[in-house]
Amino acid sequence: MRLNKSKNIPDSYDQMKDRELVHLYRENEDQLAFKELMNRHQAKVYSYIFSMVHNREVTNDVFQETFTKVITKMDDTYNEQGKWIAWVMRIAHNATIDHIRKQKRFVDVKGSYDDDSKTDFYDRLPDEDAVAQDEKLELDESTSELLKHISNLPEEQRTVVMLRHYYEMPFKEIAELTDVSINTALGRMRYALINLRKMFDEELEKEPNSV
Amino acid sequence: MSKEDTNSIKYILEEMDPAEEIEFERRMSSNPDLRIEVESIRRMKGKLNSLPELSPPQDLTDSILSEAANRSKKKQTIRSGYFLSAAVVLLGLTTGSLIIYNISDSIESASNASVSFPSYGNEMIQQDETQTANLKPWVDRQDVLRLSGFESMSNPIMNDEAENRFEKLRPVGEYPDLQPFSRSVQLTGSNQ
Repeated sequence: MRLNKSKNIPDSYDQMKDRELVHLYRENEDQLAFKELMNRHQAKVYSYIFSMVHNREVTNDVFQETFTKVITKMDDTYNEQGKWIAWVMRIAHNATIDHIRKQKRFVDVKGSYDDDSKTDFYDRLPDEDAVAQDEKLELDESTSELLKHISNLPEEQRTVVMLRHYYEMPFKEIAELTDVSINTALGRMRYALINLRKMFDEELEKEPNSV
Repeated sequence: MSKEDTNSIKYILEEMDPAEEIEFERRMSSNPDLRIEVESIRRMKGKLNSLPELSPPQDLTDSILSEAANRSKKKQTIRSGYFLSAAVVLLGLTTGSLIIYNISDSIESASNASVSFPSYGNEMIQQDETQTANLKPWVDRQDVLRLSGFESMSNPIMNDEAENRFEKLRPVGEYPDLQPFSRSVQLTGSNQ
């Protein structure tokens, strides 16, 4: 989904490739070029992050962190030879995984009383009601169910599915991004789809019993 | 994971090259289980198409855009600072090199003058003498002047006058290359 097209953005920007827009922004400080880049890709980046963390507030934080890094690092670390969006996705993916791992460490490792924060395991459990409130989206039932099942996939399988779905990223790039072989990435995709099918099947089996 | 396991997903996601695809379809036609797996995965992949694309809140995108604008302003300031510094350095270098060039030029001129003086000294002095000849008949440099023609003076009065006129001049004796009718005198510049 694109931002509302600003009257200030010339039509010619629509026709430009990402690389050209990035060049305009880097060399001429052209804010409209950056806005056009945001227009093109923000929804996919945002959706990818949301599909991984399933929380609006966290998604906003990770999204902001991602683009802050994009803005500050574009001059130093982005090589214009590569696809800009692949580079952005790498940043988004790393920020997302960092967040997920921090959360995991928080729950898994610090299960006992923590002297620093003066809290115990139960204090640190996420507030499910608050999360549910945050995640409240106007989605139909089947989409909600799909999102729920995706959130239950192992992190590495979910990553491959989302990168492929939102970016149609070639498996070679997914493999590089996730630091595994192409066959491993393909295998994760396969298992993810098989697991999703199982989850839907289980859901179907439950339905007659609940009625 | 075996290659066969990943082939079904490669086939569905169109990651196979044409030759692999034909070979896989041939195997699928003879293997019902493989066909079932492929269809099952394909259906599941189709479900993913209903995943929503979510947009970030407007205030979030606005804050990112303004962050980008601020960053650009900072960069421009830094860049103009660099240009200014570079201009000052360049100006300094140019001025410095001009000053150094002028100093070395004047040193060179001076040294040329001091060097050339001894080698061309006699000529320069001769020229100088020629130029000032009208003002000063001669310069007492304790040089030896050769005076001639006195012997030809037949008039004794004139001889006396000549002797008196040049009484300050003292003969220095015989000079090796004296021309006939010439005498050598040394200019003393003194009345004593």
